[in-house]
Amino acid sequence: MKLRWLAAAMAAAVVGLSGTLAFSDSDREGREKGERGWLAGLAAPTGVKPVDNHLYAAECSSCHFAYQPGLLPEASWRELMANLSDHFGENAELTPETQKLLTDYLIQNAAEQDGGWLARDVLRDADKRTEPVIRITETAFFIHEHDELPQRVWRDNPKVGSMSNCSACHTKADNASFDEHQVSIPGVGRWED
Amino acid sequence: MYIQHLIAIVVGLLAIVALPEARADAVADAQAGYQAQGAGPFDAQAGARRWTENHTEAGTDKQISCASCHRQDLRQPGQHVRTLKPIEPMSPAVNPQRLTDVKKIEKWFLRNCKGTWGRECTAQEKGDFLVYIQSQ
Repeated sequence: MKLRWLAAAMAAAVVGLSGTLAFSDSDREGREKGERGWLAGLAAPTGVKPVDNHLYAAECSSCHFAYQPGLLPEASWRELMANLSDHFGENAELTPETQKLLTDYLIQNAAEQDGGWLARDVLRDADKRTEPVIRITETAFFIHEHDELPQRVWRDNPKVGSMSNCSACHTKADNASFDEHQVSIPGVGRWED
Repeated sequence: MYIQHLIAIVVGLLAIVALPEARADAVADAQAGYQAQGAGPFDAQAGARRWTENHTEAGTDKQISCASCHRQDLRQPGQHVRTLKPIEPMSPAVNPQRLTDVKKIEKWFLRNCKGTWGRECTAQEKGDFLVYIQSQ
């Protein structure tokens, strides 16, 4: 009986690891996320699930942090993905095929599907709105967590520049960990309130 | 020696030989497409001029050019003006991954021409940019 458990555990480890490797093959962004992918699964309870789609990571992080799908509700992702030619002032057009694949991934992993406490906060915020929120930085929880930060440490900080630049300060953001203890603001250092 | 080993070696050698070929092909393929639309011959100097040509960004009154994000020196890394995300150098001599994939070339021409110039680039402009980038 013990042996059977051991075998099952090993099989699970192999499956987990091969998933990681499959994801790590393609390019640097993929590798970075892949290395952390299986470790992230061990850290519970999570705020939001890590990105686990290579196409999404590669396409979106060409220009910016690859936000975890659980950070916005389904309706928000639908609206955002339908307007990529004016994506916060940038043209981010995709081929129809890629656009559909990424929209499907976002919807299948949106806040409603995520289950993490951060995703639930996002949904609570969405319940109070009549229109879907498009900017993660405008959700109530995000504002609550960041409103004490003076502009000099983010907007006027050439290494940060914007609140949308998660990984500038959240050193484990790529791993979907936004823990305050892991914050290090460039040129400022650790920040805990 | 097993036949499988032999096949593996042949495939490996082919990959080594074919890789630089594939790189040259991406630009050649793109240019063939532009020529089919009546463009050409392509001029690196025209590409260089347009690289730094300023345009007013839609929605803001900022003057932007290709060089705003990619820098004037294509061998240097750039930085996205809005997100501050680092951009790897455009020069294929420094960054061999550049200009190796026609789909990628066309994706970024579409986005960045519209985003920076407010319109799509013409076949001539794209061909000029490619020979300019290749020469850096």
